Amino acid sequence: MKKQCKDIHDLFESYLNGGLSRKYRSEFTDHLKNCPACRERLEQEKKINEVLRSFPHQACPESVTEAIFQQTVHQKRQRKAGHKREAIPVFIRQYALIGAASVAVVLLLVFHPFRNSDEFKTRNNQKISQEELNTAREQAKWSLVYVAQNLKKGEKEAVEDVIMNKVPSTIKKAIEKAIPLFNGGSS
Amino acid sequence: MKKKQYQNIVNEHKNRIFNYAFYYLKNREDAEDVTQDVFIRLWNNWQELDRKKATAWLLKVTYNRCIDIVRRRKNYENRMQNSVHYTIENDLVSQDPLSRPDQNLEFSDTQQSLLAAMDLLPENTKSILLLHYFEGLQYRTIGEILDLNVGAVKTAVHRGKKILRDNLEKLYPEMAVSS
Repeated sequence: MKKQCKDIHDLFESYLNGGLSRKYRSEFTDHLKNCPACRERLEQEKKINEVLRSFPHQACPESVTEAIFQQTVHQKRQRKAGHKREAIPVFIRQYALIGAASVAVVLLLVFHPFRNSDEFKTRNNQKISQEELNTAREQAKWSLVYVAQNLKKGEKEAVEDVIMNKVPSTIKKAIEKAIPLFNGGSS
Repeated sequence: MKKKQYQNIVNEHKNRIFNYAFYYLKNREDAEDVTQDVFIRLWNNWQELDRKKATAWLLKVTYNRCIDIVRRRKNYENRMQNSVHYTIENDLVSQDPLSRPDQNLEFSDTQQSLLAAMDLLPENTKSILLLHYFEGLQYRTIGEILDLNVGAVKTAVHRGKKILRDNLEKLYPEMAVSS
């Protein structure tokens, strides 16, 4: 292939799109008159363009259009009507997390220091049984797991900060023991 | 007002989006999912949308969704090829959307050959060729959709056609030039 042929090939797309300037057009057509290989190549190029434009168009299925409107324009109306009800679960979720975290910390603070004693008392000197103690510990552990699984990244960092800097070392140890549970382990 | 305008845009563009996704992904179910997803995103982003550029926005989101699906497919294929349960026969059956009887689409041999050759193009180039030839969009609009300047789109079309022609010659030597 001559260098001139390659230059002509580069003009095919512009020529077929009708965008070839007058300056190049005469040079282009003159070359084609004398170059059967380029004429053949141009025909091939035309053919590819035609086929690319000829793929059959299909209608978007009605079921898709219906599904779109169901989830947008029609959904909006339902959302407006149920706005207050939808807001509640988010509210509950936030408070459930705070509640679970509070329960965990309070239970650990109350019961953990007495783990190795023969007699179990709360800070108010209220006696409790071994069974109650075990239940409380389990509840605390699973509350922590629940909190850990539902925290967002920023919240996790905040909780870690509190644990590292503000929680007594005995509680920290209890939390460390519960860490494998965060990843689906067993106690 | 929003509802009416939105419905107009959906009705005006749904076929274009569906067809673009269909030829990009060569799978009807995936094209339906993409179409649905794109228009739901349009609804959710209505406030931020410049309505004059709705076509470009829709095609851009469609392209991104299609790319996601293609990547997911490649990951899945890699996993399947590493799996002991993988068989080439099963894979070929699941990947031949043009043979699906419910599509009612008829493709000439040339069209089928070209579709097969297009599968071997880089994703971006395939998208540009579809947008330019099948969707009939100007280079400038394609540039807006894919964040490219006009020159880059032109070059991609030129290069894409060359790869396509080479692929066709490799896959179907009998079609070369004389077809």
